[in-house]
Amino acid sequence: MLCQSIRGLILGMALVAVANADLTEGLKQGDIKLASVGPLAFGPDGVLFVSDPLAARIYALDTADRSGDADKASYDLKNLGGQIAAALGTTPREVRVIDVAVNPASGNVFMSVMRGSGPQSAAVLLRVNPAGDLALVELSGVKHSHAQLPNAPADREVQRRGRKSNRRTQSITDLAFVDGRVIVAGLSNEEFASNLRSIPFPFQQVDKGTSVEIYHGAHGAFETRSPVRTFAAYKIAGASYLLAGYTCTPLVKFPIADLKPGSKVKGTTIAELGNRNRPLDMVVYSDKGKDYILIANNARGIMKVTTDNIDKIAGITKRVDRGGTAGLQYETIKSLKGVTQLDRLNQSMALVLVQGENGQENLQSVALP
Amino acid sequence: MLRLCARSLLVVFGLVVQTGTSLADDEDKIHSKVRIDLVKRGAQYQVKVVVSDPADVELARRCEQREMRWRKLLAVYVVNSQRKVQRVSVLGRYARSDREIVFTPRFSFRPGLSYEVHWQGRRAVRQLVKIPPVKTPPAELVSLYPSGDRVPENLLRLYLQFSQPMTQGDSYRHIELLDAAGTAIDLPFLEVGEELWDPTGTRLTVLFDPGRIKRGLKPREELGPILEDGKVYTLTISQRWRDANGRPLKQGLRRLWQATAPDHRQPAPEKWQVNGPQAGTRSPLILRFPAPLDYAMLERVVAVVSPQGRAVVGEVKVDQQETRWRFIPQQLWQAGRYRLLIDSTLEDVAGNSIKRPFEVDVFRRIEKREKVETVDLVVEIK
Repeated sequence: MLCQSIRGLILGMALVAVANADLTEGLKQGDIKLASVGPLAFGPDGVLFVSDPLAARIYALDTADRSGDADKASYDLKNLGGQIAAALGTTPREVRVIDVAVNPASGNVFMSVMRGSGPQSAAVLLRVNPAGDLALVELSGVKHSHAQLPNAPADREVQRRGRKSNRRTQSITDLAFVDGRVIVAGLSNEEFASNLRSIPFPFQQVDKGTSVEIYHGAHGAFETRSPVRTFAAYKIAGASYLLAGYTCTPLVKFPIADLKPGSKVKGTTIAELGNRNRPLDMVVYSDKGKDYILIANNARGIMKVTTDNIDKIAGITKRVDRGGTAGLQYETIKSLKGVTQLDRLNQSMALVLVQGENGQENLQSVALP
Repeated sequence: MLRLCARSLLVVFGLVVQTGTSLADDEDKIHSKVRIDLVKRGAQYQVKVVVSDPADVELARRCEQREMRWRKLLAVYVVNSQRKVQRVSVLGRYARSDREIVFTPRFSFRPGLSYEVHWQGRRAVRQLVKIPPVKTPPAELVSLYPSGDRVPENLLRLYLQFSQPMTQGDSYRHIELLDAAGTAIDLPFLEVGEELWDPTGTRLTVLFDPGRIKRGLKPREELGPILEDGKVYTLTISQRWRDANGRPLKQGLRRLWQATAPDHRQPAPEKWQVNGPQAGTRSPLILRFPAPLDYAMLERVVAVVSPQGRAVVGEVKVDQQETRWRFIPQQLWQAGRYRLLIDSTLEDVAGNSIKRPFEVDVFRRIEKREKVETVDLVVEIK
């Protein structure tokens, strides 16, 4: 009896804890007006983080999309790009799928899409389910909150032909929700700097987050500050790390705990992924007790990287011989070609947007290799 | 009551038409007439459907009451360049007023594109509508920065300025760098998926692949540097690049470059030449740099502060191959000490900023200004 009571109490406490932890708490009803739309990331409870690079904002949006089972979801949607263009009343050439994110609470897929370009362009959020039903994600009267990123280190409007203007934009290259923080990587269209921001969630009114610069030694002699292209969170020996794929350099790890205001973080190069190659998306998964990093690249296809010795690796600081590889070992998954977007669908499947030889974009679920 | 009357009339009419087949067909056509028009409201095109058949009116009413989906009754489809009608209908809003239904697309119809309107009422009607194309001249490539014909081999960034917004998403296909033999250099640019456009969609920033500029990085070790001192290159911009209205550029561009020695020096404001104008005039305040600086940042990161400590409003002009910056105030200059506040993020064309060089050789001591946010220059105006 006592045991049962204790169990009931524990269960009750657990329920309260779960209720308290619901990410949608504190989100307020209102309209979202997107000036542009960039990368997406899902948190728990159907909360979608949406980046608006032009407005330098990150929205947290309650999608209220909680029914469905990601473990049972599978996708095989042909010519999704064409279907999106048709629904938006235009041609496929006018439509760019910026990012694709799976809602782990439902198994539905959310996509950020730009229709057209320039001032006439429209930022669109779409949802598609495994049956292929395409719907606009409603942005008026929705529960949300936002964080405003500072647009520039010393942002000043200038006079151009008597009118004020500021043409600097901050493109957002990736977004993730890790340990209660939203992590944003960006690249400016003017000054060259790696910009990685860590913003606590729920968003505080004036908290613009922490901006850090990630350095990593390359071949011992030079430090670089290249922009981070994509990243994924990974736990090494109980501590959270970010695994960052650089636009022009290798795979680097650094502890998330180091992302403190004003800090200069030095990452450790853990893999060389080869030349003529840029990482696009990255996911981490487990198979038979081992962890792997799956990386979609623009030129070298999909890479499956082992995490063996990721905790011990000292970092690559010496020249890698021509054609050689260094650090973590990887294999290229030859069966997956033309992948432009990658996310994890569930424990055993990945979701990919694939550009076929006919130029059509197909959304597919594939077994994690 | 009115609806009931209409239905009674229809029944009566139905009885009448039983008497003569040919007459019945004609009358049926008249009464189930569906008129589909493209109408313009402000800048927005809409599809207007006017029905006469009470059965059609009833169907529209049911849609309005959400008893059936509008798309089942009225749908608009894109017709592609091969005249193929797409399967997915265009998203939009529907509004009914008596016998009139108006479809407003969620996103404006695209100029120059055709759409097929499907009415699935008592009779199925299909009608093609074409959105008139936009009649503005095609876009031009107005300027390319750096504007000089000599560039350091570690050149980091280009700006392409167009006269109108351009299509986005396949920009890198239209930009090529050729060596002296006319062979295209493999992957010279950092192809950022997001493409670095300004808010107006008229200026594109193109970065050279930093992996092939920075020493010690694998891409440079394996593929070599992009530009090499003493060699000649041609940058080409394809005329086939389309503007946001889908038309190709008025003309392409070929720019010949002579690559010079790499530039690892940081811009040093103390070495700039400052020309103060005379008090009581609106003559420009001029800065001259020993080497070209970043065009876009020069427009933004230098502020002029009056002797009273207020920001001076004026216009910035950058010319002479980005080695001259001019500031023309809106008000007359006063006599006194003006200050120029220069952000230490200001870079040269190779990405070296006042704050720090583009790449740091950890074995070499370099004058860094890591903590400095702005550098002041004082101008005495008499």
